[in-house]
Amino acid sequence: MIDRYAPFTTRWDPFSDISQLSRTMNRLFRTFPEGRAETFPAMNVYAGDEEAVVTAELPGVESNQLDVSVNGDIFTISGTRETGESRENQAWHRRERFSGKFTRSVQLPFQVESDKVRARLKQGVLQVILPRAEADKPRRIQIENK
Amino acid sequence: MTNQLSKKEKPASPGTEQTNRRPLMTPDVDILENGDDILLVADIPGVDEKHLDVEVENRVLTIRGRTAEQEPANHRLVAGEYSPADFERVFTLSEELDQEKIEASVKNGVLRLRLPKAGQARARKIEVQSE
Repeated sequence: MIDRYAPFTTRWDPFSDISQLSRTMNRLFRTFPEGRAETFPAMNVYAGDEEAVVTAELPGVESNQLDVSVNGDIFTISGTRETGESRENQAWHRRERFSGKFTRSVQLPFQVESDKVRARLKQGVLQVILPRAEADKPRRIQIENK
Repeated sequence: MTNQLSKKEKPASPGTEQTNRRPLMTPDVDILENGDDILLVADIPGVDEKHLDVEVENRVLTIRGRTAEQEPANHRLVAGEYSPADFERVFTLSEELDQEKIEASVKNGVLRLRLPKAGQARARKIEVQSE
């Protein structure tokens, strides 16, 4: 057993409870451009120099139940998650997991090459890599010295 | 019959995650029961069988998972709804469940636990005699 308050083995961080609370609150009041809270799946969008990365938590979704598309800088994910079990004489004690159809769109930080998008689904986490469109990349402008 | 598995919610405490900075979340679960067993299904995205611990001790079932998901390096987060998290949830099992015969499997970030009821604990019908 690990003793949480063992004085010399664990560094006590006075702010850890507060940051934990703030993360919990952020998760409770998730907001995205549409302004809908608690939507499935939860998504993150990351921007790099060469590409954008979108990740989504999709536990229990098979790749054939999932549809990912890009149009300009709009990324759309849709699909179905079935969580229903059908067994005889069953009683539900708890039903917290999302079940049903979902569609979500997010705006990417820039235009992407839609034919070079790669998507991978692993252990219920989707990762999509979207290379930035050549035409959209920032160009360094040479300043002439006269 | 409705309180066969009573949830013992543990606040997602930082005590068990001192070695990494990932948040500790309570996974969403479905729990359903029929005459033979209880099925517990938990969403643990990013966790595979190597980073998952399911323990039963003194009728306390603990599910603990460490996510393998890493945030992409050299990228900045522009819109965030979740942090790759570790998971923990604790349940107290009723005495009628056979702790020795619990089966667990994980697939696509979903844990399924089958908790069979012990033979003698199944509903016994008691004859009522009329006098």
